[in-house]
Amino acid sequence: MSLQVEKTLYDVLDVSANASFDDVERAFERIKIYFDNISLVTYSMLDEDERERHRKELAQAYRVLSDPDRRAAYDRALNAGDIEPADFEVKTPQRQKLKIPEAPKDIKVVSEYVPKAKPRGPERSNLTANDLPEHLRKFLPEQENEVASEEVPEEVVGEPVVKQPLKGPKGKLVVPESFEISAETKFDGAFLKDARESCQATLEDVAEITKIGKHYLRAIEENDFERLPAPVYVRGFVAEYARILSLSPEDVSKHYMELFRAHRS
Amino acid sequence: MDTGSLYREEPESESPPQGGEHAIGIDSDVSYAENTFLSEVDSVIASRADIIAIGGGKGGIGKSILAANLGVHLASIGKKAILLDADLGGANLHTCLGMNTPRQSLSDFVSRRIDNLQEIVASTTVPGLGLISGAMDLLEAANPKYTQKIRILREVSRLDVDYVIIDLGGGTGFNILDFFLVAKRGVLMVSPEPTSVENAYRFLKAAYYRRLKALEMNWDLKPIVHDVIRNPGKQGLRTPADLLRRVAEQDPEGGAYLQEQMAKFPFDLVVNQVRSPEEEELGAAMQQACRKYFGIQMNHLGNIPYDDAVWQSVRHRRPLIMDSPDAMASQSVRQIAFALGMGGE
Repeated sequence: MSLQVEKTLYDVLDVSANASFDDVERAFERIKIYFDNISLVTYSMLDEDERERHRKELAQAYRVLSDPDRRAAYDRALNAGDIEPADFEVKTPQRQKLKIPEAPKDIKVVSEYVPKAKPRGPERSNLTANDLPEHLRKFLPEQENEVASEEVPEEVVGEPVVKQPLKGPKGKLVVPESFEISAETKFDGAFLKDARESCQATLEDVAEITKIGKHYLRAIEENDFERLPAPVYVRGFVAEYARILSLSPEDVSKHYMELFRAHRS
Repeated sequence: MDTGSLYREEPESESPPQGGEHAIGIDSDVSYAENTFLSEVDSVIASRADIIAIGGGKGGIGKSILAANLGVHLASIGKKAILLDADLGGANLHTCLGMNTPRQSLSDFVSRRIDNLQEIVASTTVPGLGLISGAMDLLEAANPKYTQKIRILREVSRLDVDYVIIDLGGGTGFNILDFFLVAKRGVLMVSPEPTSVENAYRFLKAAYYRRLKALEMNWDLKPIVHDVIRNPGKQGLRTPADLLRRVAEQDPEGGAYLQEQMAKFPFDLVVNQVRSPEEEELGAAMQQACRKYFGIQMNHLGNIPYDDAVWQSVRHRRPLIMDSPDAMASQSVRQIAFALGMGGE
């Protein structure tokens, strides 16, 4: 067909309505590049207004279709047959967050959940070292410096820090010996994340080795069970994730699946 | 000489529609008769040979080299082919084939010194491959009149060969577009640089609208299409897809007809001088973007890598696939030939 009218967000990403989340991710990454300022593909084809419009549409399509809740809501609206892709807005339903068993209070645990929206910068009442350029940090009281150093750095989405993951044979990651596992260790998502970070590996690295979609890996690490697929897949993902970390796939997946089922039931 | 309805002189009083046509890529300095040209050609010419036209809107991107080598490939698999150098004014296909300037050229046909196109087909060093040179000294012949153009195209359709490969010059003038549009396959050539891609899109748009105008004549859609074309800005029409959509809104049947007809004419794309993995992706990306944002179907046929063997062959004045048959670029040319349905048996 020579003429395609973009009717739905699926059309915007050029994927079918039953595309997997991986397909959505890939389609977005591919088409996004067409609208880079240095890309040859669209710059002389469309004027700047058009390009901007397509960029926005693309971002909107990705925002909705890459999120299971938004996508489900969109699909419902689409089936009802009364939405325009351009002004489509989905309110994200509040998702239940699983309560992770708390760590002892006296230890500032690195994996403590830091909301991304946490205000940073000059508005904050208490200056920390992170707010200051490096040459000024020495003027801060010692104590504050320590607190600051314990803060979890805000996760940089997208560009990973240029660090080479510690790779071992057979494409596995190498967990350094300093990474401790005791009998009390819970094999939950935070644990997998810690283990991954101890190897200086990013989610992208793991996705590349395991061929598991980034969004699933992220959901696993965040114990975001709502976003995970059927148990049989989750078990496979977690086992694979454990395997490349040279952990026991059976133990880790067994433990993780207990948490998963406890949440689902 | 046959002087049937095809030879009707163009009426001169008819003035072209004025307005914002340039805004969506239509030249307005053309007579009304020019617009009817294609619809006539469509209905009259049933070519014996498969006509393949190679264009791209920009010079120096390898159109002649591809044309020459496709011709050599066809001869090598036992097909009869004629190369038509329609780069009027800048013809150099003979050089790609290692020939001197042929004694006779298209200008002899245009000036009616010779009536039968077959007579000016020069043989090349490759058995089975002929060349109609466009090399011209007559300035005016580089811009043939309406009637002359139809005469050329009509004679081309009578050539007794399997394939005619037309090498078009740069630019998007009507003479170039019309040769492009009568072809069975129109190959758009592009090199991975901004100027070339820009010209290719311009060419694509111009060819598309030219085709569309010819079609509307058959269907009497003129009032709608012209109205839509004339005020593109006002109606938010930026792309061919917008235009077809608008026509379909006003006349569903006519819109469906246009869509169907336009879909019959897919463009083919070849990316030349490819050097990097990103550039390898360009063709597929342009294909997707054209479909999504232009509403134009374009097939990415393949890439030709940047290859020293190419300029060496030009310097040797020998066709690439004879000069370096195993070079990467030669292999790509053969793959493109296969994609065009020119496989061996």
